[in-house]
Amino acid sequence: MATYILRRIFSTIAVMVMVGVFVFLLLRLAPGDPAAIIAGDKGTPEMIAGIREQLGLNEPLPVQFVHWALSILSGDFGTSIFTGLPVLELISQRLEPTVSLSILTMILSVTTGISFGIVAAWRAGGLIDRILTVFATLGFSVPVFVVGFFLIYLFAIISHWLPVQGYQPIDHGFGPWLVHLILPTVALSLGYIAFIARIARASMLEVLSEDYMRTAAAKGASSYAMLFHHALKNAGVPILTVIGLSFASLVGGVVITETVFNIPGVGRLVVDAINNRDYPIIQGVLILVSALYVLINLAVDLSYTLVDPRIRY
Amino acid sequence: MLLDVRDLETHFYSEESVTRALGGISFQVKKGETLGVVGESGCGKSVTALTILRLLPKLSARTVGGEIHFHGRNLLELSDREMRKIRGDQIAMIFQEPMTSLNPVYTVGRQIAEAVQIHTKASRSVAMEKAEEMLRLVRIADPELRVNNYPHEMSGGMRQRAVIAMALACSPELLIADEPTTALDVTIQAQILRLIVDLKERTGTAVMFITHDLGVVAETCQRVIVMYAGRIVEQANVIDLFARPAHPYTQGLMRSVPDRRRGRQRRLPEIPGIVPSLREPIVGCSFAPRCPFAIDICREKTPALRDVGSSHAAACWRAEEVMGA
Repeated sequence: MATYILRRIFSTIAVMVMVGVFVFLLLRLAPGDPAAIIAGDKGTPEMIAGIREQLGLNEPLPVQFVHWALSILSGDFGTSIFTGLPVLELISQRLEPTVSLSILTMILSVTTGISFGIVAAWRAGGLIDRILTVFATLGFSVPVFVVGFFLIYLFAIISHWLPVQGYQPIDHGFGPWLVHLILPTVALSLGYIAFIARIARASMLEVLSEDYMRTAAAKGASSYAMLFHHALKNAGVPILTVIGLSFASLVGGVVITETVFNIPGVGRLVVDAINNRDYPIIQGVLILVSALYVLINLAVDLSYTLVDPRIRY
Repeated sequence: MLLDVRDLETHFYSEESVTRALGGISFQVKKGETLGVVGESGCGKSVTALTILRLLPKLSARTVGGEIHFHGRNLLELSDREMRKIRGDQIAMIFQEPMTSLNPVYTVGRQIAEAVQIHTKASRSVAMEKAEEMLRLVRIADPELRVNNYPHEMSGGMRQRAVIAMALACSPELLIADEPTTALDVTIQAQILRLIVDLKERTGTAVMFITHDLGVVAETCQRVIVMYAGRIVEQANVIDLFARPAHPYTQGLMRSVPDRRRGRQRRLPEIPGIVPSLREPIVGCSFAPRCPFAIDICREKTPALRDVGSSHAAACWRAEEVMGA
């Protein structure tokens, strides 16, 4: 186990180095000259050259990379070209709405996704199962922004039950915070609920036909014990895998959701940064998100041993 | 009478057909006796067991007729909740596949303890002590360590012992053993058989022993029923059955058992033909197409089970001739 964790940490570092190279190159090689953008419409060629010199853009790429990587390792993600503020500070200002939205989305997706999956598998072929299958297909295929606008129209514009958009920080009160997050969370969750429910249903269905389920029934176990005690843990590995994947892929959905609902989070920050070619912000966000992705994957792999005693590293 | 099954009929349904898996069978199990249920694969042995415990899949199987009296109560009329109280407590079952019939993600001890906890008010720790005691009873070495083993850490024979321990944990009055030794090595088979016979004698549990192996029947059972195509074709004491089989099918089964004493003889005789499909209604005796004794009446009218001796019954028009042959 210890050697496995060590090995995984080494491979995590290797992955992060590759991500670093990619993030660095992606933006340097893309069209558009940041120096020209900073200088603005009235920038003279001399001004642009001065800015290039100041940002070190004239150095050879490998030298630029080493400088960049070293400063990131020391916690310095650079300053925003556009606002002149430190990248890390900009990101941390925007972190709360994004983290709130992500956590609520994961809670909603995991709980409802798994419950739907279990019920559908338990009554496979029945009415509930068929309704859930239709719902899951819809949840898969309708994009977040369509669901988002639809929900806004229904629950905010027509019925005025919920705010149209915006965000309230949690220290302004739990109620306003939650009310503003309901629609975005539901919009973002539908796809994940569908995804998790489908996988949960399939793996539960497989487990329910196993011999040991009949043994449990022959013991006199109740339906509840059969489903939640005997079946769920056996179906756990694939379910954990999709939860990990969903969580890791949340970033893309968060960006769109924050735009639709006008939430000032990291997603909006990065969209604005891309429009402004604000390289340091884009790079900072990409690095942090990749690190999170890799860590979640590691956590999921390690959690398998908690669910299935046959898995040993 | 512990168990009294009357005219039990179970059908399986699929989109295009109905399979009459049990065509109205009746038999009894007395307190403390061992009843053997013999027949080829697909003859309805396991379906009988699963019907008694009501463990067949609800969507595809239905018991369409008959009664199952256990302690005077008809199991088919009980609610699901009442049925759960009987399963594992008064009627327990051992399955064929020890490799897959234990839950891989819980320790063996916990799975035995679960049976105890379902049917008594025992606490977790008391139930775990009982689990350890049961493992000792089925002669697993170091039971205090083995309770904490997962199924994959045990051999097939040991797992089957654990399954037996689980089945006997609540001292059931009836134990249904569905081919409990079929999936095991020959040497382990003998050990498990001896274990079941020993435990049966010690606890006084009645056993319904389902097998296709006549050798197992001879070693363990007092009474035997022989099944063919969803019906009982012969019913007798084990001694009578082996001495004077009254149904041609039973005779065929006995001839196709290899006999050490006859040495390396000629080719082992087999029963020609195949088991009839249970999807179409059968006219006449279901064994007639494969039967060397078959005459016209066999193909026209289904023979009922009738007495051919004291507590010896057979469903054959020519039982007397068969016994004399």
